[in-house]
Amino acid sequence: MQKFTSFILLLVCTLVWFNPAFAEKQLPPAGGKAKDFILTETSTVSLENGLRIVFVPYGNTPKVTLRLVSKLGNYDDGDFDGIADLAYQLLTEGTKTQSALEIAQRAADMGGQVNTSVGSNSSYLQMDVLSEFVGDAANLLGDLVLNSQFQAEDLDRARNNFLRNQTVQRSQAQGQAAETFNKAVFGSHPYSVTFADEDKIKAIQADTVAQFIQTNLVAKRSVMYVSGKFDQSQAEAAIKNAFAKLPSGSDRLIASPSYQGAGKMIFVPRDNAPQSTIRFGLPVVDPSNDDYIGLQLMNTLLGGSFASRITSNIRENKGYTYSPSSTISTRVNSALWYETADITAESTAAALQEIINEITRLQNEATSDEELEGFKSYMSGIYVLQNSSRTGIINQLWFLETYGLPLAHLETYVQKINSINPTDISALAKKYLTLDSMTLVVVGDETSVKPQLEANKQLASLYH
Amino acid sequence: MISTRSAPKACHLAIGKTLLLTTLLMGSAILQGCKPNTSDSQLADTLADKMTEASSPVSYNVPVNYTTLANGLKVVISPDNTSPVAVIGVYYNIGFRIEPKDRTGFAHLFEHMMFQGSENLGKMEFINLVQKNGGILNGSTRFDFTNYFEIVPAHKLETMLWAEADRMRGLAITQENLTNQQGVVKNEVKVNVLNQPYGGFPWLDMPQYAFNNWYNAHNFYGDLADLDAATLEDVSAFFTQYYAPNNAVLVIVGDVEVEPTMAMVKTYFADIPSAPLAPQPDLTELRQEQEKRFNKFDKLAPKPAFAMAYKMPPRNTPEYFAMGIIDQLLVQGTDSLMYQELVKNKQITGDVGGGINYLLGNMFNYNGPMLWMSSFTHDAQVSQQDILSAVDGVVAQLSEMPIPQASIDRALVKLRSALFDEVDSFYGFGKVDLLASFALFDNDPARINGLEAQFKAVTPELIKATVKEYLRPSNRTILTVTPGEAPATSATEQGE
Repeated sequence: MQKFTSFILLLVCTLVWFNPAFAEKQLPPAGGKAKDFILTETSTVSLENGLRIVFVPYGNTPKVTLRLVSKLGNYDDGDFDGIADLAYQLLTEGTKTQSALEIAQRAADMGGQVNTSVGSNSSYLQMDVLSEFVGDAANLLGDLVLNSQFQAEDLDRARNNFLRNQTVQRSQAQGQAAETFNKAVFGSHPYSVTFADEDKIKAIQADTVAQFIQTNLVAKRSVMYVSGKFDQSQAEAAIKNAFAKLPSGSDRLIASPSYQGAGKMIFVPRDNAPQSTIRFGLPVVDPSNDDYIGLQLMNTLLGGSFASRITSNIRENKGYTYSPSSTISTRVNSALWYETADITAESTAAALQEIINEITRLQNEATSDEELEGFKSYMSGIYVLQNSSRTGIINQLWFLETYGLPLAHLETYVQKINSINPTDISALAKKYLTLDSMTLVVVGDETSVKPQLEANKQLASLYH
Repeated sequence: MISTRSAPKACHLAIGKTLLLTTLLMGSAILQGCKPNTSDSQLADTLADKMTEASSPVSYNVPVNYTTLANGLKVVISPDNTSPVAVIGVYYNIGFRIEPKDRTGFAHLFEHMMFQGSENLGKMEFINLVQKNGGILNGSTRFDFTNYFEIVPAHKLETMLWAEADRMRGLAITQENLTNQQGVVKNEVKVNVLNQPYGGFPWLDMPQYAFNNWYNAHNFYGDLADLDAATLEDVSAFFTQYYAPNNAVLVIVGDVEVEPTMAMVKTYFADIPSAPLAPQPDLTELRQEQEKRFNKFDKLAPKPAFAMAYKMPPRNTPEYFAMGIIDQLLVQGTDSLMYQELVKNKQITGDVGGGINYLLGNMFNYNGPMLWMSSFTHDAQVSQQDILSAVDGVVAQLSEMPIPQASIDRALVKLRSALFDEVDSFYGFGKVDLLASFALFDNDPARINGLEAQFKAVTPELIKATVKEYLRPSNRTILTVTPGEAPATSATEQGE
């Protein structure tokens, strides 16, 4: 009783201390007139072998990014899990004329280093250098792509490092949730592989890697982006010269997955974990579908931004979690919507219930115009940011390339966002976020969390 | 094949991915005990001036308009019309080193409270205001400052200035808000430390082992019990003590004009009263005379890990700039000596991370005792002795043998390129961070344009002398991670 009294007193005092006036609240100033945003104009040159060069003159900082992106990735691993990762690592480990150390030092002399990235569908080699070295960087990248040696001892070292990193990632609750979720949803499709199978990766030989690059890192599947401040004729001449001998190759088709996870709940035990790491979601349509932009807006409002409904609820209202987030994760011929969160263990079922409630509410009640307009403005602002950096613009252009979208997609994006109304959002939520098709993965303490899930009526009826 | 989570940064408010936030580099405070020796600073400046005269054209020139309002608020405006975007940053000169001793983690918890409501903006209204105007926002707590920023379409600058001024004027927070954010912060600690393999290693752990002064050496994220103990009175006392205009800098970068922007700043900030500031505690660290070694058992970690930290020379001395070059030589990039020795030659690890103010900022955004750190994971068959002899061999290359001019030139090119990236990073936020740090700690944001010259002034002899004094084994702390539960009888020190 005493405690209760002092609590009330403190509350009053504090409010008085902080906010002595209790006056009517001021409204924020609206700001000035919007400035024009003009998309950077790009130009494209094609080589005889089919390699395209896309020039993106952007900004005033004397730096330039060269990124050779190719349509090859873990999808193409085949029987050799992780071979794409090892191959890109070995592309930096020595050519016919340069050792790995010489490559690293030459890149550093230009103010950069050779970076690589491997994804499901595409991968890249990149250098980010001082502008005056645009030609030298093109030459170096050309040498790596055409003349790498793929030595067995470098492969052994790269494989060992890859396995060690993978072991670390696998020990993270978030890695375990992703692995379990992908396996459940994608069945036997290559997208189901989150971590490489150790035996398969051990079977990879140096000549398999060389063959993999020869077959897949080919001109017709690649684009060289040059973005930043640079001399275009110098860049063009150097790239043409460095990549003239890149084999043309041919494109490959990506099979659509047949989804398996609907209505499955999988519990991954992690003893005494103070939080439950959840992943809750289902397949939706990919960016080539007309509904995709609407889905992005729906996702941003539902869970994909700080002010979103799920985040407002389970973080800012309930304090169940620190970093909840919903995402649409896209790959060629595939997209998944899911909510992820690390939830304090004792609130796992309560938080899941709130997530379900927010989905249901969005499906059944149209948003207010004001709420939706706010999220549209937010997405327009994000769009400007996404197109306002050297590498951001490359990402945008490659996104179009990946999903076969025209450049006009970028030009009309904001207009399309603005044409969506509250009933469209509810309809999209109803059409795509069907609760009984959702897969739920929970990584957490079995003893304390599993009974919570079983006791929750809605979860029990969804996953009986 | 999958990157599930980037290295945790202490203390971000929010949701990395969806806000497009990837990396934030920040960190700093003004502290009596560890101000750089004035004569050394002057020497570095003089050397730098000489070099500027002698050498190449200026590589970049960031416009710096600097004013201090009558209430003590520092204001920096730096126009850049590359994109129609404005970045607004407010930095308060209070970092996580300085917090009450029975309230560990409070500076960071308080950062969360700055989003919970002010006179004219209730809970969630600040966040909604930024988003519905097309912007993103975040805040973070670092060694020597706490910052808040928005990146918005340039014509929304005035809206954001009004909102930042509103919360600088005062907060309106309820017990419910506080309880809610105690829950959020405890979840932040769980996701980044308690349920995370290598959680807190080395960024949160190392200062606790390497430093001796409590202010530098306590748990900045906070004990869960201390977080629970925080009261509304603590919140209001902290606000009064540190969140005054005369303890802050406001930086505006982007597609803005100086005069109208300054007029708006005056409209919203000029009448916020200044406040007497609390005296700063002494942060001094004594010269370390003996190597320290610690091990931490981690039942979630599948592989051993190694970290080492050397105490840095005082900020802005010639040796400090020499350490900037040494950092490039030793650990930045695949051409670096440590990478070549540990990854390629000895095959101990796959990558070597490291730097000054590592994982919590960069070499510019702090203002007190600091560490140069490096860390990596490795396989169980590699012994600590293997690692140390490899490291000592690398350091000996710098201290015992002549340093080729080509290596120094390469380090300078890497630094120049990294500075360009920093200035550009995150739509201009990197520039905000440098300008804010130099205004807050040096009262001189124009330093941003003189950095390159200060690095160029470093001689091979100075590098050698700096290696000898600061990369001594007796100036370092080693912290290892051993997978598994701590043996019951072990007397080994534990982390959290």
